[in-house]
Amino acid sequence: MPRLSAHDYLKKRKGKREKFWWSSHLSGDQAAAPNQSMHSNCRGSHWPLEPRCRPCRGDSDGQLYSAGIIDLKSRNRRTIATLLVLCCQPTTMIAQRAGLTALRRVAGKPNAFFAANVAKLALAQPLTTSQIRPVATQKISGDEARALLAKQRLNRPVSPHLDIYDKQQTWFGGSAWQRITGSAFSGGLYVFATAYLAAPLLGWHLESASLAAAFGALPLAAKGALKFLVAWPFAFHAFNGVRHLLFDIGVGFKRQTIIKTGWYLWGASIVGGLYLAFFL
Amino acid sequence: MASIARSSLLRQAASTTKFSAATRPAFQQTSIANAVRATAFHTTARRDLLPPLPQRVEGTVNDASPVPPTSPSHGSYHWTFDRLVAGSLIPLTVVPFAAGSLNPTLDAILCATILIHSHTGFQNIIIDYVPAYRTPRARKLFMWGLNAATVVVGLALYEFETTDVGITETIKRIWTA
Repeated sequence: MPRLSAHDYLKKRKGKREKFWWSSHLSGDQAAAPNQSMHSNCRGSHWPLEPRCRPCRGDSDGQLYSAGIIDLKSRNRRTIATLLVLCCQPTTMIAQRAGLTALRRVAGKPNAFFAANVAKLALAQPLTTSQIRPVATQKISGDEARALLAKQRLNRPVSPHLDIYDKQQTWFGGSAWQRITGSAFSGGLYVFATAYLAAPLLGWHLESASLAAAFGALPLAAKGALKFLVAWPFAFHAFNGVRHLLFDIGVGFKRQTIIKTGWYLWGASIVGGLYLAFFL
Repeated sequence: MASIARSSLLRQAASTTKFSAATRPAFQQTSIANAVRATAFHTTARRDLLPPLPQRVEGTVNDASPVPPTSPSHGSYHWTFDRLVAGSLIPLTVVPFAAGSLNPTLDAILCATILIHSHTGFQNIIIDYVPAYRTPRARKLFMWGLNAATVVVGLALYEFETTDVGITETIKRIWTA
């Protein structure tokens, strides 16, 4: 399988997005700003800075929709504009989307809110095949818009998402395992040392003689397994530590070399772990 | 197909709905209305695998992210020091394999170096996963917790080195037990 760098992967994803902007725009942007309902129909670039929608232009295919401000009425000294979205071709499909999506949600993945409320949701919003869907917009001041933007920025997702990384780098990358093995050893050391300090108070026996005696009493298979469980991370951390120090002085830092030595590292650490566990 | 599925859902809904719309609390009414409105636009489920940590906006939203003040002792010196410590662990790790064990002085040096290496390693992990600009209080808590833990471990290692047989000899005895 060809290996994809994060850059290539993003490019690929971007291509998909542009092809199917309908689903990606509506699900992606809505997901990023779940509280945003004012401009959910607009594809325009003014989201979310401009406080009020302009009428959207339809897609070049004529397949999408056009929208216009139909009704204006004053309430509480504010202008409430009711935006009616007139869908052209796939109207029935879109009108049924609410029910279908709710069903798909319930069927696919357990979601506490929708599982508990889907029945009520279906009742609360009578399903209709009408071609008109009202979406409320509100005229707000510049300050309010900026406050809204600030609030939305606080909901920005984690970036970059873990999903964009090459799987080989994510799961077999020496760097991640260096940290995992290192923190396992250091964590073990910290736990053991603290327990050793507290041992006289708690009546534990953690002196070297007791530990050796306890380990010696284990069956042979358990001893071998435990030794390998310690020896492999030790070998990995030691070999990869040297590899990273060489990276830091600029040796073996070509991309292809990094990938190659990354695979050698797994072989060497497993062989080294087996040697330390069973032949030492 | 879809209409069949929907009608059964509606029947189920009619039999299980306990409260009418009017008796629901206000926040439920608004959230249901919002959810219904948003549902039409969602084609995929949200998956909050790694929800973002709390964020603050510094200044106005259009300001660039503030660049922290540079300091070599938190930057390049720290980096070089980390590498020196890691590098000095190489001979300290190789010698016991070659010589069978370490003398008490070298063993104490090994302990101290491992302690520093662990401490800075844990620091790096905290810096990476508990960012100060998002969770300043948790960051402080973790850092001081780590400092306290390192002091305790240092004390324990001193105790171990002075009353027991030393770390390399202990590992050797367990390994050959």
